[in-house]
Amino acid sequence: MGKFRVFGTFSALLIIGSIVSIAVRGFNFGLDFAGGYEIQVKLPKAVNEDEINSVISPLGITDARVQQLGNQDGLEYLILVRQQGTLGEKEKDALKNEFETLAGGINKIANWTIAESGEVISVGFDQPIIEDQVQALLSKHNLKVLKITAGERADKSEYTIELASIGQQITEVLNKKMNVDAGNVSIEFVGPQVGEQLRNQGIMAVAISLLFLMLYIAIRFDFYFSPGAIIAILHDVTIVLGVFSFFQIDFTLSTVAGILTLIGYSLNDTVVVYDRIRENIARLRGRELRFLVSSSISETLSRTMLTGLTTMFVVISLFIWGGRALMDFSACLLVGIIIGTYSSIAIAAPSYVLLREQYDRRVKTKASA
Amino acid sequence: MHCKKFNLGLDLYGGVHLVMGVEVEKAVQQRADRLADALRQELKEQKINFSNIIRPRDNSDIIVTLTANDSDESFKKIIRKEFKVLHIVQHEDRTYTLAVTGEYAEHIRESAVEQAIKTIRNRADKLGVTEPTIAKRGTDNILIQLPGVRDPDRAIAVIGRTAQLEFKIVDAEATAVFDEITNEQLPQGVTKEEHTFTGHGGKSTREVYFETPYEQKEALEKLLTAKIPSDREILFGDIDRKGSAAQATQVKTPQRLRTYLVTTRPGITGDYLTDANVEQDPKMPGDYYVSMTFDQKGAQIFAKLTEENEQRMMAIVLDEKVNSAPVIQEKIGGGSARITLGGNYGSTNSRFEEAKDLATVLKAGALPAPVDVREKRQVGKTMGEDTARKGQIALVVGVFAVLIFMVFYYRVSGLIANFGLILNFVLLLAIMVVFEATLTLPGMAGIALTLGMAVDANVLICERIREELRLGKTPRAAIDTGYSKAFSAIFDSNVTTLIAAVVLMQYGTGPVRGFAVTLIIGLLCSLYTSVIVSRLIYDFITSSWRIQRLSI
Repeated sequence: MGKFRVFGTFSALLIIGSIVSIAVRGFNFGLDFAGGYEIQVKLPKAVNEDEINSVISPLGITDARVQQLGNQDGLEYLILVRQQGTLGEKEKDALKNEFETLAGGINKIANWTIAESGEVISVGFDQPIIEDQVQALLSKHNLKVLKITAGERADKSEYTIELASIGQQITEVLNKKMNVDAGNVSIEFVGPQVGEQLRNQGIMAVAISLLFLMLYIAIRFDFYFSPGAIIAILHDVTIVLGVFSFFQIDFTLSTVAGILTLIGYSLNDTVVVYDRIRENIARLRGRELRFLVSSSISETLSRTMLTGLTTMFVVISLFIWGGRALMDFSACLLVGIIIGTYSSIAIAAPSYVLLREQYDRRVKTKASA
Repeated sequence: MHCKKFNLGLDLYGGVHLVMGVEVEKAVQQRADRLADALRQELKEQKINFSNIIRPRDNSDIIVTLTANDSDESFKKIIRKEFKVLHIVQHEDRTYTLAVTGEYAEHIRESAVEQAIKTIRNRADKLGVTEPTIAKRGTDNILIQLPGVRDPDRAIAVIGRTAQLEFKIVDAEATAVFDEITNEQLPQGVTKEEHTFTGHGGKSTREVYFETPYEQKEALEKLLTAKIPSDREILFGDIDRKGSAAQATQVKTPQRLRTYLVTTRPGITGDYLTDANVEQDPKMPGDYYVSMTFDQKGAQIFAKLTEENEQRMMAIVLDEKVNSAPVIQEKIGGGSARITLGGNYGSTNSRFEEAKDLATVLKAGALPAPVDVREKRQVGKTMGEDTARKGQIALVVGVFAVLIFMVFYYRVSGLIANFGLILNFVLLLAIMVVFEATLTLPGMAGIALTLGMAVDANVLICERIREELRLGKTPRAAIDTGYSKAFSAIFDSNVTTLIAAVVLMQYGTGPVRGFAVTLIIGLLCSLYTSVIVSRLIYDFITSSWRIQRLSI
């Protein structure tokens, strides 16, 4: 209890640091929230990141990021593409310019439409242009064409061009150059709308769980316990978010799941300490509150540490062997459990004491007045 | 455990996870179209003159312009009495803007999503997908999970197709109004054509139509729509290339379309179909068509429709596009019709696939509104197996570390706790199999984590017993007080985690949900095994032998 000032300052610094990091660096939103493509691939033989990059880079995808997965055997990789369409805005403009040059001037291009995803282009000319010319132009841009449909008129050429999606392109090139069959590829695509929905729902879920938990604590204990538990949870969540922001760890749906699990876990710890405080208040009536809380903390300390340790065993093994899918989740819990264990001892219980003392003082001054 | 298999999630088994958005506003617009038709009919019957009823392209309002001033009151009365789902939102002079009431629009949106779910489930069944998951998510999204699908792109194409089939009579006689359109008025690239054939009642009939490049479609539609009566509409279809051998061998179809002037109201729709099959054209090998069979009522309607419109063209309209428009030679009785594929492109094989997919979607029924893919996750089969293996390793390593630690720290009591843990694990798996819960990788994480946390109850109990022993109590008494004192902490801490898990289950989609489910089941099991089962073991031991020292 005496060290509360130290703990308090330490936590306050961590929280301020977290908030600053979140404000300045923001989050590195993963696929679930940012949208785009995520292609996970298992190769038949070991390669390094550069080799994969060299296979993909001719595709001309501007923001592909290759990341190795698993136990450094060079077999598994993750390719992240944040770009949501086949063509970006700049590429669309560049392509239009090229077509205009082909047509022989800016006004010579009779028709130009391009789908938002960039997957369908239709172009019309005022003069005959043969398909080979269009094909040549497209291959110059490294565009993978699914189908070109020519218009009927010979004097004024028209073409509708369908391009392969980013996912299709990458799968195909991996298949050709690295012999990867379809069974060894996972492709995820998330559109922009879904990401936003998920983000809002995630915030809602955290808020709702906090509300219910506060209510439960209030009912089972008393109202002086509730704020301490909530402060501890907010403390944990903020710091975990801060860590995610500071190290720019991918923030995904699994991270939200991790945060909700952490809330449950952290509260679990807090509840055990509270339970002991409640018991000691009844048992040792008349003793000073600070003493009661201190001894409650030390009495439950071994249990708190042990449970933290066993849970940690599991989380570490999930982090190391669980593969890509469990990485964000276990990273969240890894940080969370350390912080959660600390906060139930150093934050939740002292908060209760401070609040209770505040109340008692007010009652006393009222009584003496 | 091995006789009844686990339902493996997509991440472990491979397959496609899709989230499709239903364009619910389109469904509202379609309903508004139908209401506008009904209103038109009603106003005619009630002899209220109007100059126009339109439903603008981009929203679901209905705009009515009355001819005479004195009919306002009776018009309002009709809306109030007969069209309760509509209300007047704006009134300017003699022009009324009507809108579907919010409540009714909501009803349309909801039923569109429900209808879409039914249709998609039907199609997935027809595709032969085993145990697909199709469920509503949010307000207008549908979650679709197709385990083990090999060709995801094709699956999406089949599932996402609107497939609204309509048969509409071509009103060739009415195309005479297009004579007044001069070539100068036509958008660039559009040409005016005509042809004469022996039409309805043996009269020579002249049809005026237009050929247009794809890009000018909308401009032409706008121009023509202004000329035609409100119960007629302009549709487009590919230009029929049959008979021109030179062009038929051409690999790429020219993207030119021709117009059809048809009745707005379909003569019959795909709703009456009972069957659709792919058949090969005996005269042109490699050409496929889809033969369709109507149900009894459909057959009657179709017979009447073809009888009344002999020698007229009937447009077969698929998703707002005219597939073909053959001339009805005579009444078609048997209740069957066919769709010939535009087939002058692609390989024989791809044409067959296309015909087969079309038959599939026709058989399964139409979607009430178009859908689009908002989220797609596809997992390769080997990839899934790999993930499953990794999950198992993580699970086993984590759990063993916990078990070993418990024995190391609490000796015999640790063994007892471990027995409870293993029982907990078996129970959890058994419950999952019984309730046919799906096992995903996050689910495996949930199991591992539950076991990590289930230890907590045992730790709480053991620590308490140690405390009581330190106070000098006998093992028997220490166990009794230890259990009773630890109970409230165990209970409260489990309930709080449970609350977080339930919220997570509500929020979670797919895999995350799997995690929450295993966490919930695991917590309940752990409450049972640690509080009841391990207690029984202690009781058994202490009553069977006179224990002087407790190994804890």
